[in-house]
Amino acid sequence: MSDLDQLIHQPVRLRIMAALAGLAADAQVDFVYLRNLLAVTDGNLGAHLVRLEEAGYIRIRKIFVKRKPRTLVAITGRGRDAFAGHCRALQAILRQSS
Amino acid sequence: MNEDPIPEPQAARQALDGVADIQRRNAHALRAHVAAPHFILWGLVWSIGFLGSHFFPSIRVGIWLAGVGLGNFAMSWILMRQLSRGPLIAPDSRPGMLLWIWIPLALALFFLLGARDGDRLLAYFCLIFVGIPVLMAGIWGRSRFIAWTGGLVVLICLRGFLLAGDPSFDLWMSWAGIVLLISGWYARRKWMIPNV
Repeated sequence: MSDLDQLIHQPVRLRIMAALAGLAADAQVDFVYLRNLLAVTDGNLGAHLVRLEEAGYIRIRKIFVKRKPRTLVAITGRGRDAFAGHCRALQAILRQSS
Repeated sequence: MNEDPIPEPQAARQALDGVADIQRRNAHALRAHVAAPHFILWGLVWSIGFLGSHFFPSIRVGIWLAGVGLGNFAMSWILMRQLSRGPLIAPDSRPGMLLWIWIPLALALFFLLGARDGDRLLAYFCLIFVGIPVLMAGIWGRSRFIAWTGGLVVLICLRGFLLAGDPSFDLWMSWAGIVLLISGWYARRKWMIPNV
C-alpha cells in the first residue's frame, strides 16, 4: 500500500487531482471553472490548491486578461504519477477485499 | 501530512467512483464549452436560412448573406472569448478551433460555386464541411453527443442530396439546423459549468 498518498486521499484534493489528471499534458484549467465543477468555495479550493502546489503536484499561474486577474491550474508530471499511484493503491484495496 | 489508516474497501470504492464521476463530468463540460456555442449559433443560422428560403424564396440570397455574415462575426467573437476567458487553455484545443474556422470557408465556396445545381451543391457542402467534420470531431474527441449530432446532420444531408430540386428540400435541410440547435442547447443546459 506504499502508493496510497494521504495528501491526495482527502476528498476535495482527490477530486481536484481527478479533474486535472483527465486533461491533456500542459493543459491549464481556470480556477473559477474548477471551483464550480467541484462545488466548493473559493477559500476551500484555494487552501487545497496551496497544499497540492507545496507538494509539487500542481502548478498555479496567475495572469491578467483585460486587467482582470485570472488563476490557471495545471497538474505536474509528479502530480500525475502520484495520482495514478494512488488510484492503483485504491484498486489494490478493492482487489484484496474480493 | 496526516498518517491516516488504510481506507476500508467501501471507502476505496467510493473514492474511485468519485474520481470516475468528476472525470466524466469534466470531460463533458469542457467539450460542451467548446462545441455548444457553435452548435447553437450555426444551428440558428442554418434553420433560419433554410426555413427562410422555403417560405420566402424571393429573398433567399439576402437571408443567407445576412445569416452567414452575422454568423461569422458572432463566431469570431465566440472564438476570441473562448481563447481569453474559456475554462481551459490547452495545446490540443487548436484542431477543434481550426474546424470552426473552416466553416466560413466552406460557406464562401458554396456562394462561389452555388450557381450550378444549387440544392445538390448545398447538401454536398453541408455534408462535407459540417456533418462529416462534426461526426469526426465526436469520434476523435470520444464525445458521444458530438458524434451523434454529426451523424444526424450527415443523414439529413444525404437525404437532402436525394431531395435536390424538390420543393421540400429547404424544409428538410432545416432539420439539420434544428438538430445542431437542440444539441447545443442540450449540452449547454446539461454539462456546461458556469465560469465567470
